[in-house]
Amino acid sequence: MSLSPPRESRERGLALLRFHLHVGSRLALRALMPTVAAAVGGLFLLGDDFFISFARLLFGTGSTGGSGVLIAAAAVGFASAAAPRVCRGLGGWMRHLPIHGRAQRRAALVAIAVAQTPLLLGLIVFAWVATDRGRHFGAFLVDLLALAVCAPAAALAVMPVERPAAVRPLALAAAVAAVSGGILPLAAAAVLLLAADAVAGELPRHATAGAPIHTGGGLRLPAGPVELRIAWRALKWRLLSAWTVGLLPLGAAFLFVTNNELAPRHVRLAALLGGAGAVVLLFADLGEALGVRRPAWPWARSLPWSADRRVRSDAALLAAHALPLIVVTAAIDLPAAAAVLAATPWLAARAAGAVRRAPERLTGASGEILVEGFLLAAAVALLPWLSLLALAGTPWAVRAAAERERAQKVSRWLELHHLAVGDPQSWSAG
Amino acid sequence: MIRFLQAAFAYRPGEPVLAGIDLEIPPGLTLLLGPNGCGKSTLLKLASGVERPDGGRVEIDGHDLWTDEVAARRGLAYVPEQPDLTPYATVREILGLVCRLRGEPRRAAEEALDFVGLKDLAHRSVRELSMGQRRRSVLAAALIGTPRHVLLDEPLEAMDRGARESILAWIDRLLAGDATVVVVSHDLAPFAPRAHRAFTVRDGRCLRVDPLPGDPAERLALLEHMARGEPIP
Repeated sequence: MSLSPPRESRERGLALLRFHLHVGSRLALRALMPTVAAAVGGLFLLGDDFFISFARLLFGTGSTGGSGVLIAAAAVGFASAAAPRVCRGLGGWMRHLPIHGRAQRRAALVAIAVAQTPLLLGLIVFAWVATDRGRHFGAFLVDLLALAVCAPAAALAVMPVERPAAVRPLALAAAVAAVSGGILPLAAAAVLLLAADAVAGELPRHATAGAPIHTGGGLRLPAGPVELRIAWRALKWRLLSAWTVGLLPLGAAFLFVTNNELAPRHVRLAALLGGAGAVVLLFADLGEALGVRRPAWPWARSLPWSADRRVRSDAALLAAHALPLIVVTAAIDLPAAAAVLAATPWLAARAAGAVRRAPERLTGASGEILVEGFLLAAAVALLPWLSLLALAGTPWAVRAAAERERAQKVSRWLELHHLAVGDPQSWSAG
Repeated sequence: MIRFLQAAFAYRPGEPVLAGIDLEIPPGLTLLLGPNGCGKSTLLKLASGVERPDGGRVEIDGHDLWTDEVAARRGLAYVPEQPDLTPYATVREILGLVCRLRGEPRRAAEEALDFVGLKDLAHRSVRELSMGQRRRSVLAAALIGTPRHVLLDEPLEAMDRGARESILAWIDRLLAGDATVVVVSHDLAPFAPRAHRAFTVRDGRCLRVDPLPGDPAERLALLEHMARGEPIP
């Protein structure tokens, strides 16, 4: 029995939507636990008062456009992590299925919006607190609607579309306007979102094939050994986000030092914590990106170079990118920067080792880097001479990382098509 | 000489693909045959230093692949069935890397590209290449320098007639230079007349036929048996 054409088309659309909802839900579940853990940890550390003040800052009557930018930025951040994972593969085999390209793109948009659920749940809790635990129901409802517009707008701003130059500004404006507070900005956001959707078109054909390597234009690549250039291409603009994350503890340390009357040893303690924490966060972000976007290259292992050399190359790349953060640390306290500088080779070598374990771990490379790194950062903050011990231990850290490089079963995925953490190649799209 | 000493390997614990094999592969053409999934490609990955054995050792000309990494790999060229090249480099950059590591001038990369017909695509990233072009890229990498140990996994697959003839001519040149050439292939006819010996992997163990029968029909029949995983007569 055949269905009538409109009904058939609807059935297909629903099937596609269901498929993408599953994809989005899986991504949301993956991010849920770390988000909840971070929220609970933050609540314990910062206390109720901070939590309530922050909720009012975001959604209270006094909230301004700045709050909207903050919420939209968080939504865009979540969407950027989800978009490559959702869209990989959609431009290939999926294209031969009997469904319109525009419907494919919209279903993918829904998946990316759903993947933001952990963030949205957190924001809903903030909105609930800011509206006096939902007593101002009208305001709470407007906040919910605002988030319902912001999430798809953020998704549309980052996903691959046919006309990105026209779509991205419209979608970003919609995301910010939606959460800027009030009915009028919300209505304007809805109109902007519809307009962006109308001009977005389908998913571009190169969405899965991978864009060509552009060696000119954009971020300029340094000359040098090809292994460093490959790593750089894998990172590219992610370096900026990694540096931004790294600057957060340094910014906190700077504000703490400048806004308080502190004894010199407390200034040093703050600079040490901020500087070492900054380097650890930078390495966690870069290590995660390297593990995901530049997975092990099996064939290259047959070439006459050693595992030590490959590890040293990664460690040198990581350490070189930590230098700007160390310079900022020096602006707060010079001896503290020297201690952080001494600890950096060890941290870089350990991070290079963690990248080699990333495919086997649900926490990727960053989990190990963060745990080990913050332990060392805390130890160095309390006993700065430990950084010299770390420096002396760097050759051992390099050897341990090289042993991990050798122990990798690099072709296991190709042979078994199963790894506990999933297909490492699917993550390389990001 | 490629030597396996009690080499064991498993992708999953408790399910050995190779269970402590002892094997010597001298110069000449060695065919590695057997049905899908028997462990041929894994054996080649161990010989090429792509995978490290869980137990035992693999040596190339007396150098352990995992303790004397650079020396062991210096004369090694590996052409995998799945050309897993990094997507973040162009073909020219990959061949430039191989030239640098093998101590060859950059000119060797251009000659190799010319040989495999990829000169016009050298500026392209791996992501822009078809599977056949990627295979040609790793083949070009194998052509750089004078490798003494060449490991080829299905070298004729996805190649057009002209490329197949060029590859076979190259193999003949390698054999004339007393190189060790190990070939995994389901396509027996081109290699049967050139082969000096054949191996097959069964239940994690390696079975060897050396030398092969001189009569061409008898030789091909024996190789067909081995390729199908049937008992060796």
